Amino acid sequence: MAPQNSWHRVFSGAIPEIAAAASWIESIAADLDLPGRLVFDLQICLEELMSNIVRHGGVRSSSTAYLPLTDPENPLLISITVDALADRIIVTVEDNGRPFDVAQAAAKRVDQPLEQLQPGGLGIQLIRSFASNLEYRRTEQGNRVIVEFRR
Amino acid sequence: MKLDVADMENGITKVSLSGRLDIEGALKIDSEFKKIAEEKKNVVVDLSEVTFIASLGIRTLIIGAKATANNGGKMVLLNPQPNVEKVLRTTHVDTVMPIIHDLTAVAAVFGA
Repeated sequence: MAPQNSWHRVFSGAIPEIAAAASWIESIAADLDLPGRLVFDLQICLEELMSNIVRHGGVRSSSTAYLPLTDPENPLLISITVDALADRIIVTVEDNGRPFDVAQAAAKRVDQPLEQLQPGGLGIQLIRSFASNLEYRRTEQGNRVIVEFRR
Repeated sequence: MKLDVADMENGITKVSLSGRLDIEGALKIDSEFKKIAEEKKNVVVDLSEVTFIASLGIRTLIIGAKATANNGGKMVLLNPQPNVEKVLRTTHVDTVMPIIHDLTAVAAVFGA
């Protein structure tokens, strides 16, 4: 049997699901015998992407307005696909939430003294720093982010 | 995520964190960590048992550091694991909270 090189799972858009996704990625990484550094890189990018979706994506765009995703029949969902290639790992994260182009968003670092510093907003910088490549596409259902990691 | 507090010499408070300082871990300790920082002046945060940190965890640390600064004090980060330290340096957190690897250096950082 050929070794598995693609994994897919759908998570609901809730905070506990982020830890579940981290454990899932860890088990995939163990199957692939990935080095600890790469596992950390994968987990931090996934954490930041999912955290953004869970905290800010909970509204759906329609032709006329943003509507809250409170309809139990149409909840916020995060679909993750992991593809293992010889030279890199590709993680595709899709959601049905509010449009947000993570590739174009401002990447913030701590650049002020504590007194003026506003806490938060560092996640985009972490994704850009820990992934080898980052792409965003708006989809009919929501957002698709593709992050790549060199092995 | 676990949080322990101990008083050291010279009025320094040591907060030891352990576990994952991810969104869930940060939400778990946020209010207690902030309260300690608001009540204390000089705080050293032992990160040696923190295996992971993300932006929400950094936010927790920055809120604490701002609170100690409001008291005329300082927050210092002790012994982060290499991956955690990489996150802290990538985001330039080390420019507002010194990172040290030797507990004996703590007093010097605080000028105690």
